[in-house]
Amino acid sequence: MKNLNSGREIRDVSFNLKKGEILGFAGLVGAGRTEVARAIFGADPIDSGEIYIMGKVANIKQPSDAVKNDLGYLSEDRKRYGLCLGLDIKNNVAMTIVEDLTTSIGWIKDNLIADISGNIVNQLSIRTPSLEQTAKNLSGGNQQKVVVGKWLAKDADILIFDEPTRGIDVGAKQEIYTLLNELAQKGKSIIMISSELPEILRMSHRVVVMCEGRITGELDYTEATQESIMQLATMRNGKKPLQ
Amino acid sequence: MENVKNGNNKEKKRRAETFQRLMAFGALIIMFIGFSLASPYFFTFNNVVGILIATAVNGLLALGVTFIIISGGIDLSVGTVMTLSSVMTAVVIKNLGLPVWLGVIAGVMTGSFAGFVNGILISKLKLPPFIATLGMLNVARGLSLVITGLSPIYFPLESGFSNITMGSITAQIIPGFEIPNGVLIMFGMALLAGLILTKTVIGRYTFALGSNEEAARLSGVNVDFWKTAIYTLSGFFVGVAGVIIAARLNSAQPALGQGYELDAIAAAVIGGISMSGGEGNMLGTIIGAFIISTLTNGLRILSVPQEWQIVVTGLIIISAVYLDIIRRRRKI
Repeated sequence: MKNLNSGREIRDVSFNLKKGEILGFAGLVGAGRTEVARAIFGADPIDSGEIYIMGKVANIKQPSDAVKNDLGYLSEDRKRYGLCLGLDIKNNVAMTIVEDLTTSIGWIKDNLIADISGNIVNQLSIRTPSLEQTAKNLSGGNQQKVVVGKWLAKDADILIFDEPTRGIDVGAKQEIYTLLNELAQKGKSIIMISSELPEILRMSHRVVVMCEGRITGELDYTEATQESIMQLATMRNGKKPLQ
Repeated sequence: MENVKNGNNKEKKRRAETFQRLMAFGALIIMFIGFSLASPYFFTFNNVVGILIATAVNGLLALGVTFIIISGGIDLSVGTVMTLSSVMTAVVIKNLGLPVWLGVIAGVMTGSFAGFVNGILISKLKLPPFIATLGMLNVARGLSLVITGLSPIYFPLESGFSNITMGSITAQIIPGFEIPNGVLIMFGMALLAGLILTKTVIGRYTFALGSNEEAARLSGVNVDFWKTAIYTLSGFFVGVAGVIIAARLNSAQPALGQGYELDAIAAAVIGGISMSGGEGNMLGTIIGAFIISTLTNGLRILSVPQEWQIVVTGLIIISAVYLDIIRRRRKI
């Protein structure tokens, strides 16, 4: 059982994440979901609260701490926060692992990196004539796959996807959904933030709903419907989160 | 269709990069040919050696600055930190009477430490690089004056210190073929810098930070640590430059240095390093440094007044950057 539990004083957000599950995060735009994701990942400072991973407290003050704890984060703005557009696919995918793949004197094992990136490009069906293709020149779907590839390379266990299929064509969307399911089946724990209700309903094992910075409810996939989610998503007045 | 377009892009990118490198090198060759035709004194062994040795110091500074510019930063302090490094070398050798090699280490450590401080100011204290290094420029200059008491420190002739730059190993191997050591050191350092940039983690992260620092941070790169490391690394090359210039002049001149940073940055820019960061290579920087010293030397031989040399250098910087902008627009 993989538990991720965080409470933040300002918004009092607490939830669990189980191994092998896709936890959907629903809510209106501005509900605070991205903020929660960034806080967990160490991208923004936390006022108070703890994160437990596998029962032990995880000290996450910056993204590098989160990555050491096998977390991965795909921001909703992949061009601005997910990729180095000026670099090629290989270096984008390898960004999470390059420090680990050096010889004893410090030279990067470029062949190994090329192999690993190549495998990931194939695994994710990233359409590109070569690994040296600049990220800027890829389509939205392929760019998103490169970002996913970066976390696959690191073999992150806990993945936070923020709007994973925004701005992506239908075909690539399908591939991403398939990929998410595969990852969950392999035992990864996934948080999926999405503003597309069909996506939430289709992919999530459980759904956490937020409104104005607070968690307003938690539904499992049998209870989750458009109505039940929307009701929780618009529930203001600072009600306490349901246990 | 996407594959065709992408295939063309890769070709275009390769061609554009090669074109840019060839262009800088080509400009250098054209200059050489031009000056040789204009004056018989230009293409002589002694004069070319003069160009080489004049490039050594600026080249070393430019190597350090290149790391910083590619990473998206700027360093205005390289000139005065170089001077401070030469001062510390002199203090250790002349005033403390310690062996030459300790003096060299002192100089290199001074440069590295100043770079480290810059890095801390910029990454931890979040000062903008321009401001932080401007402050360091003044601090280093002031310290040089304070430590030396405003006058130069001369190295004792017996120490053989000036041989570091002005001596010649090649002359001992091939009599008459006297390439000053300083030139060899510069080329060696350029090779080292190039290897670091392309084959090590710090080099990779230099490009990453320059391309998209926040994306790198969100990928788990410890940006504060590596930024500081990059500035420290740059400081290493600045420290070496300090030792080399001190050996060339056989003295530490505390009032020197300010203004050198501009030539270093100019060399990088002429060599094709983009000021917005994320791309560049050391070969371009070295070619850029040579272009500047070739220009200065050639114009001097043609008796062009020094004032005009400076004007021409400025024009070349502008043209180089403009050509780079055009090249970028043609690249998708």
